[in-house]
Amino acid sequence: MPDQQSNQQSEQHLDQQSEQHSRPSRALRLGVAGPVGTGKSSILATLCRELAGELAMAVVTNDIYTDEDARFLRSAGVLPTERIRAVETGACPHTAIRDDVSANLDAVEDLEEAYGPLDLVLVESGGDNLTATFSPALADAQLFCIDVAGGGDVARKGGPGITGADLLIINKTDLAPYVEVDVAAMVADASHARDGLPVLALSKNDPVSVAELADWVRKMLERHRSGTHVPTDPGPMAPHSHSHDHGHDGS
Amino acid sequence: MTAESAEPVDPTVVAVERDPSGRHIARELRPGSFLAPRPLRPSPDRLRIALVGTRAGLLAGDDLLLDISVGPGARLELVEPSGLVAYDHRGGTSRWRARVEVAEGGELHWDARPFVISSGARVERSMDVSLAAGARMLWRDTLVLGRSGERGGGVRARTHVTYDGCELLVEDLDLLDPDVRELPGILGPHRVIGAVTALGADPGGRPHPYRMALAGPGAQVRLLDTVAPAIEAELAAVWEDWRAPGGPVTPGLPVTNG
Amino acid sequence: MAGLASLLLGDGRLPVGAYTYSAGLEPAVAAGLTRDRIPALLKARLHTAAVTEAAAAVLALRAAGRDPVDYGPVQRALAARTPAAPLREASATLGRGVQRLARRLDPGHPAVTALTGIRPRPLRPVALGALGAVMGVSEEELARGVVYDELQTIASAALKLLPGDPLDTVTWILDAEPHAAAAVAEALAVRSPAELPARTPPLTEQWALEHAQRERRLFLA
Repeated sequence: MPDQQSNQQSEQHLDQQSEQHSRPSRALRLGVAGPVGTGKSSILATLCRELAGELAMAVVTNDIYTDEDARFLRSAGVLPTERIRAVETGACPHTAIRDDVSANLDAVEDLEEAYGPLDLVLVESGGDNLTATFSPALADAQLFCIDVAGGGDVARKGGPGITGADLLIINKTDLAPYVEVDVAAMVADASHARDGLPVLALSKNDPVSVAELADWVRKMLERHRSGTHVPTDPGPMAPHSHSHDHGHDGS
Repeated sequence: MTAESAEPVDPTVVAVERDPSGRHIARELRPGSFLAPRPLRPSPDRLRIALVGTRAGLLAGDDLLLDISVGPGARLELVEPSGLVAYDHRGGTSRWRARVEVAEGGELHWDARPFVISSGARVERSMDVSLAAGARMLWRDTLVLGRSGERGGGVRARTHVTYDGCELLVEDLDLLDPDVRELPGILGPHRVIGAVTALGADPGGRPHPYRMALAGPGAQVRLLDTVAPAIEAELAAVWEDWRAPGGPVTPGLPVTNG
Repeated sequence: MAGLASLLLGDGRLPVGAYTYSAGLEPAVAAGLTRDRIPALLKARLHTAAVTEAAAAVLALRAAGRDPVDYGPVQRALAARTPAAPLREASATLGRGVQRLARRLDPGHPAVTALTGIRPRPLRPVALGALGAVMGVSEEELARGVVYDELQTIASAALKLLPGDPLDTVTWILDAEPHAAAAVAEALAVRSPAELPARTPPLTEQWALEHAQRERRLFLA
């Protein structure tokens, strides 16, 4: 529940900021999306562990059942518990990050107001499916997370998050031998589908990959602050590169 | 809705004050048509007055009126030796009205006994409370719809409490139509509604799952049940918890905004 | 503009965060409410909370049309009639989404700027009054929108909580028409904050308190 006593002026101020998107003075809002079970909460925990020492951070979680992920993160002890907020999404995790971001914006603004100035606010989507991505009205940048256990062809199948997120993470690479997935091929498929956007093969047990992830976030924060990062919307739809051939386009 | 008044309303009046030396004085104790105030042995820090029934319970056309006032810094405890029953009104309506005024620094404790609304009764109950800044009231009330085995009559219980001139608690508990009140979310299967309400200050005390922190200074625990005895014991415990002397009593702040 | 605006007000797709709210259904289901009792729950809401909500929204819309705009009396009256803190908090949270939209539509409108001074945050009906003023809806359209939204909120939450044929929900709402019309009429007849109905649903309050203490929730309230 948002703090009832919060200062209204600063709320208005924050709201104006959220409407003028890339103003560098406010925290970078980084979305983390991806299907259920691919390790979003674990990535959040990793980011907090790596970055909380140098950045002022807070976390908003969206869950099918309100606060499961928030409780996971709180128990991980990576961030003071009051900096982790859970948002009810009425069983509409997809809506909460795209069609109607009100509840998440409220949570982000409350955290910025209570603990600001913040450098980084992480917003974890409720695990939905391959089509759920963040609206730029909520997230300045977004990670999309898939894992090797989902099968080597997930990356090739594509989808808006896979093709358009600012960073695609192929998670749990340490499990690849057990699920007979060729990580290099998966990364190559993903890179092809993403037309040059970055892909990171990650395992929380692989310190090099973890350091790369943290570096990517630092660089994104720099670009956000300097105003050179333009939030882009991967959209909810997979790109229809051939749609006009089938007359779907209408144009 | 007005009751068909059979006779002029004759209010029961209880007015207490505290004189400059700090002594409590009952300025007025006037018996009304239904209740007579009888002083009890006072506690060291307050006057205790019993409201003794002088007539059988409410019938159609009855209009029970109580005027209670507590002067600045005075403390009054109202005691009801017995509950009240509204009998079958055979189509008519009765009224039960209380007007309470507590001046600055004053305090009223009113531990009301259950009010039973028999089948066929139709009662308009109103509780109007005006608390000055720094005044407090602790009130317990229980409505019982029907005697044992009955579906119960109708009651509309209105509560209007102001603190320092601002509305603190306003409620219109409309239980006149059994078909409506038994809907889910209103009363459902319950026939007993009991509450302990602290007005003018946060009563402190232990947490309770049904404690409602009012928007202004005050709190309420309201319990519902299908039979009375179970919640009576629990309400009594809340009452004791909240009335405990020396408990953390935070004086009410001015109500600036709901 | 009012023709479309009134439809927008009652549209669950209006991006004001309403999908996070079940209008008391989730707490009711947790307390044992079954699908066959949803029409009865709708009727209960229309006799109680919906009247208060709609009337408060109408009072706020009237306040929004005065100079200067002062929502204080209706906000305080509504808070005094909402003893359960979780219900006030849910209302303020929902009001925030409405306020955000009103501010986006017309940030300088006196009806919108007057919301800023309210502490704690404007309750939903107050924010709806401001939004209604910005969108130019009539009192009746606003009252009807609030009442309809109450029904549709429960009906659509039911699809998540007590799944069944979605087509049933339309029948529930259509069948509630007489009670909805009465609620709208009653809301419109309220002349001042002092007259704001306070039709308390005691079990609903209890359920809201229970809900606030639960850890696994889909909906705000």
